[in-house]
Parts: sequence; C-alpha cells; structure tokens
Amino acid sequence: MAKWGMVIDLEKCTGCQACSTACAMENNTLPGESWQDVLYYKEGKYPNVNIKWFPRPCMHCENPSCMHVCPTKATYKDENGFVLIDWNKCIGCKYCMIACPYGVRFYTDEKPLIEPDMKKVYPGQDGQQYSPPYQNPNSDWTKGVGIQPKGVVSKCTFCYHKVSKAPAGVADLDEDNPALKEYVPACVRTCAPKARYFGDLDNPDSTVNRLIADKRGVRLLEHTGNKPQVYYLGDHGVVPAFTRPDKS
Amino acid sequence: MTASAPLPFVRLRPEAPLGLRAAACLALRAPVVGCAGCVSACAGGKLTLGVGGPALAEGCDGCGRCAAACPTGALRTPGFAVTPAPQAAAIELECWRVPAKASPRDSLRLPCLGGLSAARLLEICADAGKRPVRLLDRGFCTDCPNGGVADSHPAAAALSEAKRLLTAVGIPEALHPRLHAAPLPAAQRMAEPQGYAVEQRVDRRAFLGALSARTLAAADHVRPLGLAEADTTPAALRERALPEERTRLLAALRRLAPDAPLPAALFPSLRVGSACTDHRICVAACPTGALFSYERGEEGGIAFLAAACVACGACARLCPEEALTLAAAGNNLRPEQAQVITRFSRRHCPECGSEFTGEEDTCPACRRNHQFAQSAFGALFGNRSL
Repeated sequence: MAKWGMVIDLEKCTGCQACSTACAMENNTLPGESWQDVLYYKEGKYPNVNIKWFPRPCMHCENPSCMHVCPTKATYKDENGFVLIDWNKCIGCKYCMIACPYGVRFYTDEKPLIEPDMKKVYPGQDGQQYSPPYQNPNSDWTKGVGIQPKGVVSKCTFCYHKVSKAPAGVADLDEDNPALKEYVPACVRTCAPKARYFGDLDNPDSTVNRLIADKRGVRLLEHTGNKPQVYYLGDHGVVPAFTRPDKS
Repeated sequence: MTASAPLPFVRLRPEAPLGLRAAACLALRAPVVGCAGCVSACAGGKLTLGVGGPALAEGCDGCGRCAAACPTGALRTPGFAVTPAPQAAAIELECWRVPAKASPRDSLRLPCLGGLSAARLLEICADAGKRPVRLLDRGFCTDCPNGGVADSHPAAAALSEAKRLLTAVGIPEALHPRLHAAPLPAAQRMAEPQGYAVEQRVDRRAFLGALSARTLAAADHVRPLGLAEADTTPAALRERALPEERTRLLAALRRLAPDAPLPAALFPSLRVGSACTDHRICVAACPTGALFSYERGEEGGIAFLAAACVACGACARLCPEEALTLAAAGNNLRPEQAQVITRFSRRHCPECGSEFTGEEDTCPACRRNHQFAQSAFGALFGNRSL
C-alpha cells in the first residue's frame, strides 16, 4: 500500500514539453489527448507581456469529483492512490469532464483538429480506437491503460503499468536510481531539468514529503476539496516581463 | 442504431434458466437510479443486487417474475414463448406445477403464471382473437414452494395492468383476460415442475406450434420504432437496448385495436428547462435510446421518442444542470414520432477548434484551462507583478 504522489518544481520547469511528448509516446495517446500537458498562456499587452506556462498532469485527487459523478462507477480510486477508469464500464457520457476542476480528462471520438486523422491512418483493431505501428505492450482496459476503445473518456494513469510493478515499500521512484528507473512515470523520467519527483506520500521519509515540507508545496484549487496528490513548488517559473530600457 | 441485432443473454448460473443482458440492465448502466425491480419481484429471494449487477443464488426454477418486472427487458427465462392452439375454444393458461393430466386439453402451460407480464398477456389476447383468455387459479399459489403470494394471485398485478390498458383502447370487458378459479387439492401440486425437457417435449402439434411461434417471434422481434440514426458505438455497456417488453406491448395493443389511439398513460413526457447547456449526459445515460442526439448542419440537440422510454429517470437524475423533468405518464404528442426537445447552434472554438454550444468566445474546456492556470499562478505567486 502506498499513496503515490508527484511534486512539480515550477522554479525548475522550463516548459520544454518533454514530459508531454514522453507521455504521448509511452501511452500512445492521440493528438488532442494530452494526458500530460504544459499549458501556455500570455498575460498583459505588448510590450509588457508575460508568457506563462503550467505543467498539468492528472492530480489523482484524494477525493476526486470525477469519481463521485460517474453514473456507472467506471472511475475509481485504487488502493495505491491512482484514479483510474474502467473502460469496460465507461459509457462516454463525459460527466467527469464537466466535473473535473483541472480539465485533465479527454474524449477523442470527435473529428480531430489535426489532419490527417490518426484514427483513419491507423484504423483500430481489437476494439481499439486506433492502432499505431508501435504500441506499448501494456494494456489493461479495467485500469484505463493502453489504447482506449471508442466512446470512452481517457486520462493520465500516473503510468500505472510501470508504478504498480515497483517493489513494495519503496519511498521514492527516482529516475537516477538504476534499480528503480523502469518503474518511474514517463514524464518524471524524461524531465530534463529534474523538475518532477515521484514518491510515496504516506512514507514520512520520502523525498516528495521532504520537499513539500521544506519548500511549502501547495495543492491547487484547494477550495474544491479534491485534495490533489500532485504538489507544486516554487516562486519563479515565468519569463521576466520585458521592460523597455528607456523606462527602467 | 441497429434495432435488429439482439444483444446476447448470459446465464446467471450455469444450471439456472435465467439469462441477463448486462447492456440493458439499469442497475449496471445507471446505479444512481436505484432500479431493483427484479429483486423485489423474486418471490423466493434468490436474486440479489451486487456491484456486478443481479446475482442469483442456488435454487432458481425460472418462474420468470423477475423478467416480467424488468423495465428494460434485461432478464429472460425460457418457456413463455407459447402460442395458443388454433383449435382451442378458450385460451387457458396453466402452471407447470399442475400435473399435465389434470390440466385441460390445449391449455398453454407456462413455468409460472406470475411470470406473465402485461405485454405477454396482451400478446396472448391478441393471438386469442375473440376467444376468452383464462388464467387457471388452482388455489395453491399461496404456499407455492416457488414463493407464494399471501393474499392474491401472482399474476394479479399484470392482469389489472392489462385490463386497464384494454379498457383504455376500448376492448369490451368480455374479452379481457381473467382469473378462473378451478381449485385442485394441494396434494396434486408437483414439488418440482417437470422442467423443460418434459414440458417442451416435441410431438407433432408441439413441433408445428413451436415452429409457428418461432416464426412469429422472428417477425415480431423488437420491431424498430423509426429511431433516427443515433450516435452509438459498439461496446457491451454502451449499446442501447430497445425495451423489448414495451415494444411488444405497443405492438399487441395495435393488433388488438388498430384504430384506437394508444393511451397517453403509456408514454412518459420529458420537459427540458432553460438551464440545459447541451452536455448530453442524458443521451449517454439513456438505456433504451429514447433520447438521442441529432445534428442538422450548424444546429444540434437532443430528440425524444416517448414510445421507447421506460421512465427510468436516469436522464433527469444525472443532468448536472437539473434541467430535465420527467413525468411517468401523460404524453399524447404523437409518441411514436421523435420530438426535438432542444435546439442549439454550435460554433467552433477559435483556440482549440472543437465544437461547442454557448455565447462565450471560447469553448468551456479552453476557458477552464485558462482559469485554472491563472488561479494556480495566483495561488503560487500571489498577485505579484513581475
């Protein structure tokens, strides 16, 4: 039993999207289905514009609102802290997508925005929505792992297929530890500036707990009561605003 | 929607004659509705409702009361697809527990009279034509080992429902099915029904009868109700099951009274309030396909077919905006034609390009992403200007 959680240090995050790419490759997600995304937006008006970014995986909440609204109980909280979707039960009503305050659920049955349509280029076999030539061999529809069938909602699984195989009692899944690197979620393992940490929130000795305590990690949208298991650190993480030299 | 391909029934226990079609089961599709009609109908208390849907304990003898109670036709027991013999002067329905020798010639023998639904009774009436339909009450149903009913006959509820509908379409009382008291000593009741092997023994008449029944069943099997092409995708729990029982009920009523308008009491009515924001959760939740999406150019919305609705209430219960009001009866607006109940114009989001409904500039998902990222920055960095 563990309570897996992630810490993202915004001071280190460079917004390079390597995590999003690694996630898409690991999980064979379709374009538009960004289980892990870095949100970009700008604030202010030229010339005082800030570009800001924000890495956003599924928060794997302790009290997930998506789970509570699911009419078929397809979304559930695993005993090790994962929030997973049972694709055999999902009826694709998208109630969870409305309920999730973080916007991390995806439904890709519509006409895609990017051409060509990958679902037509690699037509789905064995009930899958599409079947690209390379596929992650791990597939478990009861956990929402693999390529989904038609008409279901999908989301980040915290790389369940890797993390669930980690040896019992491990405090941290550190990509620098050769014995453990295969069990580290794809986004954490690939993060070039090492802005992500993954570990057991129930273990008082874990690095994630130490970071949350030392650097005052925060959970987002606390007022919703969802209690995410993803914590954010840091005080900078934005490109400094442009200031005209003659005004400084 | 393909109405012609029936979904498979799976036996709940290998030895028990009871099949479940999980795709149609409301308890599985929408547990919030709290449907447990089969469990309360099971007189022997053999059926329970767990996480995986209906579960059956040992000892079910296939009386079919659960199947008769199921609003979506998710349960079925064999033995009820019988057709009256053409030469019989009166149609007499008999229980399998009555010895074959004691029951009248040409009687229709069924596993249990309690397993007759109103639809099945009306079908038998339609088959009977002008002949009387009698349910033989042998007087020993009260303490039947199959689970007796204390103060009335197990078929009483279905019978009164059938009578109500027949009255509503103007069939004279003389042609209504009725209970006919023909008591037998309780000692004659068989502890165990003889079962399918004996009851469905093939003699010449039974063979031809079975053939004609099968032809009828094939012709009658879930008549398509003129549903528009709805957006459904194949997967066990996502397939819509037309409520077979209901379709048969309507078909039987039409055969009995081709000219009379079908009673409004049969058709639920659904009203949509102004709170609707076109999420279409109701469409995905509807177990029968009575609610479906339509797209007409830039316009889209939901349409409702009252004839396919079983008034389970999943749509109203699940609507996040609480915009739907369902009344179990009272729709007299041409129930067999789908009514368009919402109409929205859809636009493309300038940021992500996906279609959405609403007056705002961008789609709800993009708005949420933006708000989320902004509020997250507020939480982490305060309102510090950089």
